Amino acid sequence: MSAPLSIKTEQAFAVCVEGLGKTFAGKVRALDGVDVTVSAGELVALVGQNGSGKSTLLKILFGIIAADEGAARVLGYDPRSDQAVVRAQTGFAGQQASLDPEMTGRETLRLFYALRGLPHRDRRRRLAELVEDYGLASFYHRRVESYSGGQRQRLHLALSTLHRPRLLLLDEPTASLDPEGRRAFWHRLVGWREAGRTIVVATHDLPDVAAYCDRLLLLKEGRLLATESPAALIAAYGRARLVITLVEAPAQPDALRRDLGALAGVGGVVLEDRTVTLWRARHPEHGEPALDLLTTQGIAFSGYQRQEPDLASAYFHLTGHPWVTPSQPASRRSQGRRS
Amino acid sequence: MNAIVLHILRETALRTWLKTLRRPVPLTFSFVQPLLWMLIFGFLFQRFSLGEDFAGLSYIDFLLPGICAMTVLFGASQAGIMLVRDLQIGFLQRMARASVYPGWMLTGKLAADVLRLLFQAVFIGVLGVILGVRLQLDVAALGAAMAGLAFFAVAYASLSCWLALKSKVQESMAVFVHVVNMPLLFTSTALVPTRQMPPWLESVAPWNPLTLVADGLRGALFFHRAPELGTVLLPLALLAVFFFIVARRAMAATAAA
Repeated sequence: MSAPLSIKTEQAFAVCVEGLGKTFAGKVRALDGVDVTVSAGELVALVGQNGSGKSTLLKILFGIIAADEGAARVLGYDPRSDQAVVRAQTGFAGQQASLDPEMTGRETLRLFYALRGLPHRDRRRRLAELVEDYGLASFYHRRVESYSGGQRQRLHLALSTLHRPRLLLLDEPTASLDPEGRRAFWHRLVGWREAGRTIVVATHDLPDVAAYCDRLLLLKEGRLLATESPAALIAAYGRARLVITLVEAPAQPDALRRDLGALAGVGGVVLEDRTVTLWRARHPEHGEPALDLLTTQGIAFSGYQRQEPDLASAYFHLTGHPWVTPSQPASRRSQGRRS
Repeated sequence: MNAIVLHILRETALRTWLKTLRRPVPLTFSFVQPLLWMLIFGFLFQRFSLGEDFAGLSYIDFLLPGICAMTVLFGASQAGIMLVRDLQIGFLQRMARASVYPGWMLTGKLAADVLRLLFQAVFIGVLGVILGVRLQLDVAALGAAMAGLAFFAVAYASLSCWLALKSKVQESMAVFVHVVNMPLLFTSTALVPTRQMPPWLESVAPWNPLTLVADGLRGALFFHRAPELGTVLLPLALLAVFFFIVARRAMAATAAA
């Protein structure tokens, strides 16, 4: 890291990154000129495909690796040269839980409490808080080797927040959590934010990002594509979807695709066997011209489904895959049948 | 030394002991192996002539301090294995990054290892007495000899930890244990006195730190003689300080990564 950032910038943001670049093995460009700022008290999601640079950015912010170009400040400090100060105020949870399978959760918490240099007189109270907050009571006396993935993840997060950090850097923390665990996790993040902490979380949970995060940093191949709020991104790039199930495959698929694509507002049409998917900025307020067209052409359909613009569609649009069917469930859905 | 450092030392030492106790097979073997050596060598060479320097001692008497030193040698050489395991699961990196003083983390681990090894050496000594070794103990001299043994344990355990932190693989630890320990043992006076060695080995053995340790213990246990400060304790202490600093630097590099 080279050029120092301005004092004003350092003080205004919990995280400030300018022109950050990182290349691995001389050829893999993990980060390419990334500029990012995160204000104190923000809950920010770091989103992108695997290999887009999310983990690299988090590791640079925690001082695990050094950037090749640009500058970074975390809570006003250089994460490499002021590593100890940054780590004392920052919690980092990597993708791997990295726990000792031969130790119990209790022993692990006690060990890390000591390593963090926290006052011994407060240990009992603090560990009791963590056990309560993360629901560790039923298993933390057992060895880690007997834990489920979700239990390991809870201990992993408890260790990362043991010292009450001002900033949390979390790398795909919900990967091994069940739906209840994931919901509890996101509620916990919101609680941390309300307590004034700053959180940067790399995740693929787009519906949760839309529901809970203040802002989203979208990375693709090491470049920052967007830094908007989920609502702003959905409004600007989200695509509504109409999925129609035909009774039988159309006789002239190319003609049908062309006719549907020519309808007002339709951005893309995908025809797969008996399923037609139309993409557009928003659904028409009245009627459904696509269904009228099918009826006019004598093409029978057994049902249809409308999906409102969501973050997944905005994400795919921004990452250059505008007509990919989002795998996440729709936030709002309406269904109908007509033949 | 402040309260935080003491807390780190205590928790890292406790962890080291807990992990040692939770692997009963290697722990048992670390007690059985020296006992077997003492039984096999002690009785196999009971008619071995020790020479004028050790007049009045049987071979098993002579052997006991050597086996105590050997116990520490083998135990200390394996100190790094736990670090390799921790490195491979990412736990060591996690501890080092969390620790406000990563160097003290290593100190706690080494302290636990060294105390365990000294306990093992004493245990072997007691077994030796049970097997018929006749001690002529000098407590002050024994204290000085044990200090020499402790310095050697710190030096060799630190070397093992340094190698573990640098190589990060189990294989190099196995090579270290097998390729370095045996020559060190057989070029020392742990098993035979210098006068019974071939001339070339006779000139090498006095420079071997294991010789300093074994001879120091032998003098304290049978001849009311404490190891010399300048020629025995000081070199061993310097070795301990040197390898400890090297290992601490490797730990600091792990924490920074």
